[in-house]
Amino acid sequence: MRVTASTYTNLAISSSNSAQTQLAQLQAEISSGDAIQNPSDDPSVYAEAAQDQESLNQINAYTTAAQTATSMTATNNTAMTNLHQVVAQAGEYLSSVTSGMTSSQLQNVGTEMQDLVTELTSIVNQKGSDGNYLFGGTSNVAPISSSGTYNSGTNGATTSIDVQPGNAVQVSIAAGSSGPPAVDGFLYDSASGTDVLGALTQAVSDLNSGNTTALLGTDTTAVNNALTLLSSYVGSTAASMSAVSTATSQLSQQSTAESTTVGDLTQTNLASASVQLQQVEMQYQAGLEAATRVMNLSILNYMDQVSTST
Amino acid sequence: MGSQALNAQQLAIQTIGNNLSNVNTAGYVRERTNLTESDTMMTSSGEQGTGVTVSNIESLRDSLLDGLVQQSLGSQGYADDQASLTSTVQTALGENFSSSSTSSSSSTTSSGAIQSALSNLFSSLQSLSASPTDPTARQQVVQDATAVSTALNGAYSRLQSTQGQIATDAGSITGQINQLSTSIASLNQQITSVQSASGGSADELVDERSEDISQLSSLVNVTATPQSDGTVTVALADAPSVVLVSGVNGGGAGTTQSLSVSYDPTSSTPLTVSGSTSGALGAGIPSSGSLGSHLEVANVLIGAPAADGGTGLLGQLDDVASSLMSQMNTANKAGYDLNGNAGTAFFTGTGAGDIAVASNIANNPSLIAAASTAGAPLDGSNAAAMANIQNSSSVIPAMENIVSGLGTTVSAAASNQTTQDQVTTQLQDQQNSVEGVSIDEEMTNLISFQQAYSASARFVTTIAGLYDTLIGETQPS
Repeated sequence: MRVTASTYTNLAISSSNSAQTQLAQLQAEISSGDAIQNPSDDPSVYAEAAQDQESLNQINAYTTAAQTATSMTATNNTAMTNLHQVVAQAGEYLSSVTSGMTSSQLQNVGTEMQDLVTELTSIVNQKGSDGNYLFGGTSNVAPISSSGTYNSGTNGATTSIDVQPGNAVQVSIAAGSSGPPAVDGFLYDSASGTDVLGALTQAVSDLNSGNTTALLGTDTTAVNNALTLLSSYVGSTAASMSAVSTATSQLSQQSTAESTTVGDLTQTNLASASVQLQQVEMQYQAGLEAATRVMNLSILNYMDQVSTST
Repeated sequence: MGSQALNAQQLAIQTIGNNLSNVNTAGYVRERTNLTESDTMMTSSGEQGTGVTVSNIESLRDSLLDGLVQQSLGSQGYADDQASLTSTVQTALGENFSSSSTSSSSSTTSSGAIQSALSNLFSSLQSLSASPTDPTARQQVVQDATAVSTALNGAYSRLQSTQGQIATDAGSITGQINQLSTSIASLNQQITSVQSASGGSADELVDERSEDISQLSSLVNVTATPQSDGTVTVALADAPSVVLVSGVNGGGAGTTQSLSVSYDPTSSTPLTVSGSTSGALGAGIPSSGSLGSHLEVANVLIGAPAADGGTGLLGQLDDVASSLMSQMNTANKAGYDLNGNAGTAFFTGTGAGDIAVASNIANNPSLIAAASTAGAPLDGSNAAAMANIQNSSSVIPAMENIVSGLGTTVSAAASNQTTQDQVTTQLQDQQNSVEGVSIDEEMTNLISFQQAYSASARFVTTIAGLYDTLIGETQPS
């Protein structure tokens, strides 16, 4: 092939442009830490990274939801445990009643039993940090009214939070009401006819009136049923806590894995980029050196030498 | 004979000088002085040579390579602009992967403004579902929804603006095309004049016309057909009936037509090219050269809004925005706000260009219908249903597809540019190998002709000396 003056020039410009483009790309990668500056840098990697990033965003959102769920289910479990203790205490008071007790003794027990009703009301009517009633269903009213009876405005609706795709955990429980209308909850169960508040207030009434027959019979049975109902709620709220804890642990692992994947895909491997930079740098220098040497070669140089020597 | 030899060597040296002078002139084709032996004459001793004559000065043009380079330049112009314009469009969309360090040990990554804003919106809706009475959670939803609409509006506006700039640039390209057509027609005229007046080949003018055709080829794919009278006819390769130069008429100055562009962003084909006599050219014509690339990026890649039948980026963004609006509005209307009233439309607008959070909700976040039942302020199940829109394939995954699809287009354009660049470079090297000037070669030839000139001069001196001797010896003493 015949080589002309512009052959060298075009080659030098072309190789210089190519090396400079690579150098600029590597400089941007190294200085920003991002291996992918634009989707076009590597469309398939970008698509994969974008999907992983979206998954990571969802995991982070679920993690935030799980934190809220952890707090709410723990509050529920604590409340159920406390209520269980209150009713258990009521059962102990009733078991201390004998047919030979005087009315004064019974009234003393009745006073202590009334304190338990007050404590129960306090637990059931508690509010969350946002000022909402925790156990009034979704209607945001106190489950037990100031008169000590069920509030008719309450409802039995519960709420759930998605802590993972397809994994909704119940984060609220309703107190319920004997009605009307009757609403199932941890204080009232229509299927078994269990009424926790009713059992305690009836016991107080019977203690104050000295009705030992009722106290040793129906009242004791009612309190035992109340204890059974609350035990099931202690169990279910603990199960919810456990479910949230398991989900949180899985989310944490998934988050770490996705973050690593996204990082591997999108962040610069400094060692590899530095080696590449060095290679391109050498290539660029070699290209410039070659161009300088070749472009200086000309018969004109020798003609000059000949004319000088002669 | 000596005089003839001196003239011939001098002409050859002048040709070398001309070659060396034009070593860096674009489009210049090297010339060569072809010498031939003069007619012989018969003497008593037999045939005797009579020296040298110049048969012609030849322009070493390779028409095949010239045609291939012109074609390749058309593809090169297309590839260069396609790479540049698609990259600009990618920048205009603004969906780039980025990471930012939040502390020495952790960093957050984002796959783009719109995608991040969508993720944030669904995340805040999820938080709202857990705390439906929390005013901060409600405000956050409004804020993130506003960020989504702002990101979509911004990207849409930037794409429209880029499309407008491409249209302006295309207008400038047609101006250059018309100017080159006029120049080629003018050169046609000069070439025919020179040829008819002197019978010469008008090589310099042909070189100049060839360079103009090359430049024209990079702007729009054309075919240049040489005519018997020395002129060339230039027509669009995609539409041979659209003749830009015919004989001595071309572009804006002659009777042959000029090109112009018209831009209507609301048309399904926003950017179209028309010929002054052919009228509007078909969609996608021209298909190559810079102008072809501008048409493709403006009409196909960016395209028209969905309402105008566009399926390009604007249409796709409209589809994402419409899907988001439709699903969010349906979900919000299905629920109840904090006051127990039925929900209203969450977003307003017709597409990505004007999507906005409904003003009543923007001004009063308690109107977000987080509850599924009336009078249940602690019910956040409808907010959870709205958050689940993130699983709809027509919102976030659709946005991911738009961005990665554009990335693939830009990457393919860059790759095509590299390939086309190599093809053009190889063809130009081949062309240059035949038509280009080599300084070493010219200098070597210069020495050779210089020495021949000196030898011829010595021959003349020697003959003159012979005559002097002859005349001196034969003079009467």
